[in-house]
Amino acid sequence: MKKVIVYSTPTCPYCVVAKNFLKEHSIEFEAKDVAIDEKAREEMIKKTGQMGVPVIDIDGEIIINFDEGRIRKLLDIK
Amino acid sequence: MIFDLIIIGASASGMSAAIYAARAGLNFLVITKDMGGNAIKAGLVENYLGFPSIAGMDLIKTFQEHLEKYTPNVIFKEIESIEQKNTHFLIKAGEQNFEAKTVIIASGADPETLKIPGEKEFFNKGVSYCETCDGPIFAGKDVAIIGGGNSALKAVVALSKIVSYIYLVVIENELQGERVMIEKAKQIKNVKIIYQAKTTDFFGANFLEGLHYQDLNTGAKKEIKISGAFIYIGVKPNTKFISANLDILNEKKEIIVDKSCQTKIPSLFAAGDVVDNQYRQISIAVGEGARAALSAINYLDNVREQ
Repeated sequence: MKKVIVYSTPTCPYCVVAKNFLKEHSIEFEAKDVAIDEKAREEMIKKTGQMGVPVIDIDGEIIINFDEGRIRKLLDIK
Repeated sequence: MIFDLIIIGASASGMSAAIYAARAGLNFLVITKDMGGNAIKAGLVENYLGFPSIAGMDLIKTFQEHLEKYTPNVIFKEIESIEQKNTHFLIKAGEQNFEAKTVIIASGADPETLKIPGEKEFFNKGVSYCETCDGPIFAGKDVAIIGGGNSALKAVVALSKIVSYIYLVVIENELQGERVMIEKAKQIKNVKIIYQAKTTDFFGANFLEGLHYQDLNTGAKKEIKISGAFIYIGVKPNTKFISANLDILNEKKEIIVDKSCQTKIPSLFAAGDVVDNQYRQISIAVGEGARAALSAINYLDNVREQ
């Protein structure tokens, strides 16, 4: 199973959309709140060189924003 | 297959139109890049009837749940082009083509940009157009909000609880927007309003470190040190896929419609933030979506009778 990490803030609409999408497709993921978790924020910035959320890390492949097409492809969701 | 109607966009106006289309029994399709458009990012909405205070995201969710009762046919794609073909329309989206007798364009609007040095370079590196998305990342930091209308004021109210200090950079000599929002913003302690200030550039190394503005009274160039900048200076309509041949856009690239939400092409309608409407509100978009759908239904009825 691929390791999925979602970096998000509590109020970001597309973070909610992204997490709901993963839940709907029974994809397990680790959620990191970059608003309160400074370590996670640094980690996200290091991985992406930017601060926009959501960031979705699928086995090291980085997706910035809710790119449904790429998420589907990387997780093999039809 | 030729659909009765294709609705482009699924925010307030598109979803409202879809409910009317479904209830009229039309064979219709919604093509959209996302659900919720601008409204989903609206933060707290306090002027939508029936909901004294609700997050834009939650309001959109209620719209979506309502619409889903009609199990509409929704395809997630970006529109590339729309053209007239004999008596109907040909819409290209991705590698697919769709045809319809009538079309409602409800493609909304994106945030307007300042078009100044550093804005693109520092996008998502301090520069943002969405306080609800990125605001919490700037907890305890100093930020600027650029703009003086309702969206800027809403951002001030929301961010004042998160960030350390806000510079509200306003090009005009007064705030625009609802009186209740102006009063709220003026009462906040960690906000400095700078009037008649034209933002000229953003600067920094890897991430945003500040901005320069010109004081329009004195002409002097001034500097503010900030980690984040939120730009709320209006919106630009999403009409890139509409060719000049259709001749339905004004000089601001908004779609020109009459009071029936009909364009100069009788089978082509538009609603919401994409039209030449002075007011961009969720409530108005919902109303226009309904109006456009009723006009399309009426058009189809008349064509059938002929």
